[in-house]
Amino acid sequence: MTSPTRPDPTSLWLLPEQAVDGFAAALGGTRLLTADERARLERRLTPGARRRYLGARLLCRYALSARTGRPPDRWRFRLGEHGRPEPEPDEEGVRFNLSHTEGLIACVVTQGRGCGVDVGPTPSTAELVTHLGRRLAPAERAELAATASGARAARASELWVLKEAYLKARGTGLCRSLGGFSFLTTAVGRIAVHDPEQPAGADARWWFDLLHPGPQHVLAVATEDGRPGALRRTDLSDLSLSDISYV
Amino acid sequence: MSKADLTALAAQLEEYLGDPHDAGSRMSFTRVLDHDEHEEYPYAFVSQLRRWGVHEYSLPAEQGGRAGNVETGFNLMRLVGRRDATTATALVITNLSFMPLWIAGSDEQKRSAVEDMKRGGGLSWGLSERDHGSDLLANEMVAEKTDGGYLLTGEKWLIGNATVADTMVVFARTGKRNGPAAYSIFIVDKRQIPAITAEELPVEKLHGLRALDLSGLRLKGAFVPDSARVGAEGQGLEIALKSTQLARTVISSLAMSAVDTGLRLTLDFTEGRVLLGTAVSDVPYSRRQLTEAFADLMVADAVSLGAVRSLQAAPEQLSVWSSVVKYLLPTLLEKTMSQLNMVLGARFFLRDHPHYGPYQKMLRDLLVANIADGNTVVNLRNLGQQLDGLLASAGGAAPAVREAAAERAATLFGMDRELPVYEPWKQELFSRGQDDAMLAAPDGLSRLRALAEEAKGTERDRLLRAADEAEELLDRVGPLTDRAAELKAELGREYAQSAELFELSKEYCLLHATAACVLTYVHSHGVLDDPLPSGALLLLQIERLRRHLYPHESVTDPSVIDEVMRVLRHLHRENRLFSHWQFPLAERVADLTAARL
Ligand SMILES: Cc1cc2nc3c(=O)[nH]c(=O)nc-3n(C[C@H](O)[C@H](O)[C@H](O)COP(=O)(O)OP(=O)(O)OC[C@H]3O[C@@H](n4cnc5c(N)ncnc54)[C@H](O)[C@@H]3O)c2cc1C
Repeated sequence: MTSPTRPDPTSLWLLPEQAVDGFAAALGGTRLLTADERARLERRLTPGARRRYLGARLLCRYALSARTGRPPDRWRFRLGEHGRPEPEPDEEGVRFNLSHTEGLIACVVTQGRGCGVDVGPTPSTAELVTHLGRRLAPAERAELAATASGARAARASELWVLKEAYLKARGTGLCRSLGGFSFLTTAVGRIAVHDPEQPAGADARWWFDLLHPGPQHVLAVATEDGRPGALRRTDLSDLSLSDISYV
Repeated sequence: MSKADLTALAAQLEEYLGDPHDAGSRMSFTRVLDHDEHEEYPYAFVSQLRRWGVHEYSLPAEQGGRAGNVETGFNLMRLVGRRDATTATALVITNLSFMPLWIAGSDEQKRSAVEDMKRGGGLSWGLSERDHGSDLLANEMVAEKTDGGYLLTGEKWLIGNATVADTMVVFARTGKRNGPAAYSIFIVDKRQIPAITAEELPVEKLHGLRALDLSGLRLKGAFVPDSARVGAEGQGLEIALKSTQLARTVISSLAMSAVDTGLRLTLDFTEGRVLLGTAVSDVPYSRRQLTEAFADLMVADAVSLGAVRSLQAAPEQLSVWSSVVKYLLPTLLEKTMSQLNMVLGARFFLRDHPHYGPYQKMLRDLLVANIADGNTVVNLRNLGQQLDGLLASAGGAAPAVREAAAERAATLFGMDRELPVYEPWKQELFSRGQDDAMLAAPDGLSRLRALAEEAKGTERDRLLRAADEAEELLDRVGPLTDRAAELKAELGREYAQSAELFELSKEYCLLHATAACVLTYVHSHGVLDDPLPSGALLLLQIERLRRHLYPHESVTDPSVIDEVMRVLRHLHRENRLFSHWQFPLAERVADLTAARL
């Protein structure tokens, strides 16, 4: 009964770090990981880093399977030109992107369109505000300077995740200078990018969603050919805590 | 009856019964609990309600009752049930016992039974037997033909009202050879048979509904005249099953009322109680639990809206609607209530707390909805037997079939739509693959999207999201059909009895419920009172159904929960039934000091 006219949504999956253990247990621990991923997992130094890495690897499989119906143990990944992981084989044209920070893991999934996600803590630390302040584009620097001092650190976090999400969606990663493109919020509240490296008209194709999934996190999603209201967010909780279904 | 008229009638009954927290009201919790503790049949409540005429709304107008729509009696019973499930059960049993007569009785039989009931007489329905449970075809009570009538011998056990009611409608064997045509129905007026031929069985001690008369009757050659037979010889099984369909459809009102009171009491607590400077209702975790319970109740309300209306608007499909509602609602609401236990906390365990005492009673009483009138297993089996046909038509019905279903769905789920007259003899035992909720679901979804486009901002987003999520659930018809086919191929003749088939039937019920929520929204949104309709509530309803399949996923964010909380608070403060009907409840006159103890 799927209506053919319904445009493909952008799925955003959020997994709180404290739910990773239960989530992983439900998916068979490290069973779904490749040998290489398992080796990488072992190399993480702290329990937190290991938990977030495992959570992210499982979350992307879970999210990709939810979109395509392909079983979660059938996913393999290759690295793109700038090191961006892409599903292989990608028969369904499905794209994804992962991000994690202390406390939260995020995964975005689209089909046939570029996507990027970045999650970070908010408000930014004073150091980050200063550091970022120097690397922003002039217009952004001016905006930040004009922001009331109480709100400045929060705005800095927003700009940071927007920039990262955009770069990750473009697949170029952080090898570009952050000041080489800028963000502004239009009169109607739409977030727009201005990127001089892009051909004319390309900027308008990018859609940005900015979310505050909790009091300590800010998150940006960048999608190619996105549209308002297309973002479908699903929050995952610890399986072991939720009451198991009777079905 | 229009929504306005039903609301006015409900308000009258509420006013008559008064604030249950007021010890001086006609049906106060104090007295209700007293009856329960002492296991004393609630004669006084039953007579008061009869005087008001509650039961007449479930008796045919043609023979002196006042029934137009089944929905009227059903909803009035919710108002009784929110005070006391025992009294509601005692009344409902009398009405349900009348069903065989309504379906197949002569005008004279109906008329005299209605007259008797209007004078305060009660009825009981003697179907079950100790040794045979749900296996009706093994029933042993026999009716032997004799001059001018029958001699009845055997025992009926676990029969509500068996002792207090003078008349029992019994299911007894008339045929020599066993089989579906071996049974008939008789009206046994205990006042008319030789005293020595009948004996009541002891009243059982119960877990819930402690004040109920649940007993039985032993007959030994009791004579009943030919005129006491209902319908033709051999018609008994069909009549009994059709009667049961109505019972299955309406009994979940008990569970809904129990959760209504459970949620109301919990809110009395969480709204008034402050922890670390915040009302418990505003602690994010508790707020989520409360709104989830509310959403469950609204799912139940939507499913039963369609099911109760299907008695009149789609009687040939009743075997599906009645079994979905009978399995799903009690099962769902038992979980809802245990979720609420943890929000209310330790007080839920106290039997004589001056304010929260009724909670533990509701918790016990609610369980009856799962057992009586065909237990969960029987209903899932009934759905399992029809599942192939239901899935085939849900997945691939012709456009004309869907169109007709969509038209009926507007009546099934349109609270203000006129219903056809109730003609119980039109009920069918198999629905031939028809389930209008599923058939009309695609139409419901496109209507929902159209309504979303008219809405603004977040409301629009929430409605669109609700439509997307509902569609995704409904799309499971495909995989469900595949699984059923695989299972059949694998199990062959074992399929029909397999445990897996029960699981598929459960999933089907969730899909039907999803459709019911969407259809209620699209066909009733125009007649709902503020603060309904609510896109946030609809989305949370869908999330609750989705949870059964994806237990660790949520599709609502805190802003959705906040909005549902606003709706819930409004209903609680304005003292409305937690339902799409939002009946105004009796004014709360008792002061809430006890709620703070
Ligand atoms: C409060 C109350 C009021 C009642 N009022 C009345 C009344 O007014 N009139 C009346 O006639 N009866 C009445 N009953 C009786 C009740 O309707 C029957 O007892 C019940 O429907 C039969 O189910 P059972 O659980 O007793 O027994 P069974 O049918 O023997 O079932 C026992 C268990 O066996 C299993 N089972 C049964 N059938 C199947 C199957 N086909 N497939 C797989 N598993 C199966 C299930 O686990 C089930 O729970 C009342 C009961 C109660 C508790």
